[in-house]
Amino acid sequence: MEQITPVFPPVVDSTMRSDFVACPQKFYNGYILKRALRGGSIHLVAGAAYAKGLEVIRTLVWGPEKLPLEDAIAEAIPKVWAEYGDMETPEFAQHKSPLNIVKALIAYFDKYNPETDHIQPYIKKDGYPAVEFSFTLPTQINHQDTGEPILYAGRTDMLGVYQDSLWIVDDKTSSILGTAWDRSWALRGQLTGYTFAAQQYGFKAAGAIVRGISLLRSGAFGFSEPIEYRSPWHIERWWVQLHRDLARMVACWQDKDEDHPWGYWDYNLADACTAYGGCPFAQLCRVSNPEEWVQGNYELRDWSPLDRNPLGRPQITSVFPS
Amino acid sequence: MTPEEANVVSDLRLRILQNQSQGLPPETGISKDELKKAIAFCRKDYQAAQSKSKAAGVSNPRGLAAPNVDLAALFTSVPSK
Repeated sequence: MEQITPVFPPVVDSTMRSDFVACPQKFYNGYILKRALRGGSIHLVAGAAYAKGLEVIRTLVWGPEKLPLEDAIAEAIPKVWAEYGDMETPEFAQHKSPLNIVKALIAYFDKYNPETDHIQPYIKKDGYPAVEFSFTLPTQINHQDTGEPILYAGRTDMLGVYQDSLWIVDDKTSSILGTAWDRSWALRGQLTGYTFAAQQYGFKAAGAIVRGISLLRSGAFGFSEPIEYRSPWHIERWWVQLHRDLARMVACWQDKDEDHPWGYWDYNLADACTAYGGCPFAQLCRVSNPEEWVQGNYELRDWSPLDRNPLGRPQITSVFPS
Repeated sequence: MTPEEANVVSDLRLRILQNQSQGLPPETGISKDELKKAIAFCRKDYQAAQSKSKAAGVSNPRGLAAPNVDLAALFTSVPSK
């Protein structure tokens, strides 16, 4: 594996914060040492392709071009499959195949036809809908090397209007939806951060509407859209917590000695090791010689919070007959 | 999707990836008619799966979920009568 000189990340997003809170070792491996399981993540690739499709279709339908829906979907398909790249879909994730992502987009717009959708996009002054809203905000914790504020960044799918109020609209794919899924967003800091960021950019967002689509193994799709308000106190608590977590990250980074030249990063050694299909770095924690296990099993990947697939666009490696 | 329809769709994807690997825009040489045909195949396919799973009671279509909101928390003071 290529060698890097570890640095403390200048930009942090909700995934990085969530990984740090779950297990500082996970943060260390993923964002300080920039390791990822070899071959990429099917979940990130499929999610990015789906998000690309939504962005293209919404822009073409609601933007100045005002394309009919069917034409917009047709224009989106090549871009969706290009975004997906030639990653082979593992057997366990056939419901996230490139073909099923296109079917999911068709099913989404069959259910939420732009002409009758109860959530309409906010239209910007340039006539384009506010899709793929990105933000970067300075925090009050300084980076140890640059002295500049550590930045908090994110990217959400759309700024929408529902019942005359502004809302963040965040699209999610899932294997299954239900009451537990709906409730899982109630305290989610990611949504609080989106709402805060929109407000800082001058949009009085009331909260977020999470549009979930379940990609069922049967080939069918389910839909749900929990509404998540974010009160001012809720946002303030999140902002304080973000800063406490950043301060703890910096403290881990500064806790250096001969054996730990890049800081001491604590281990969860509990549920975080096995939650959601298991931590990708659990193998390294199981052995006394983790560096030897890194070779062959992990690759160097940068995490870019503002990219659709933060672990990097899949590379086209196959040679096709011309 | 019939095997013929599946072939049409997979050939389309192959051409898109070929374009991409050659540094061309992915849609190069692909007509809107071909893409619309693929949409029709996909729609037919997912709708059949949708009907089947509804019949089996395994689909979970849901509407706008009830808001997760603590009304008391939205207000900092009790409105006076």
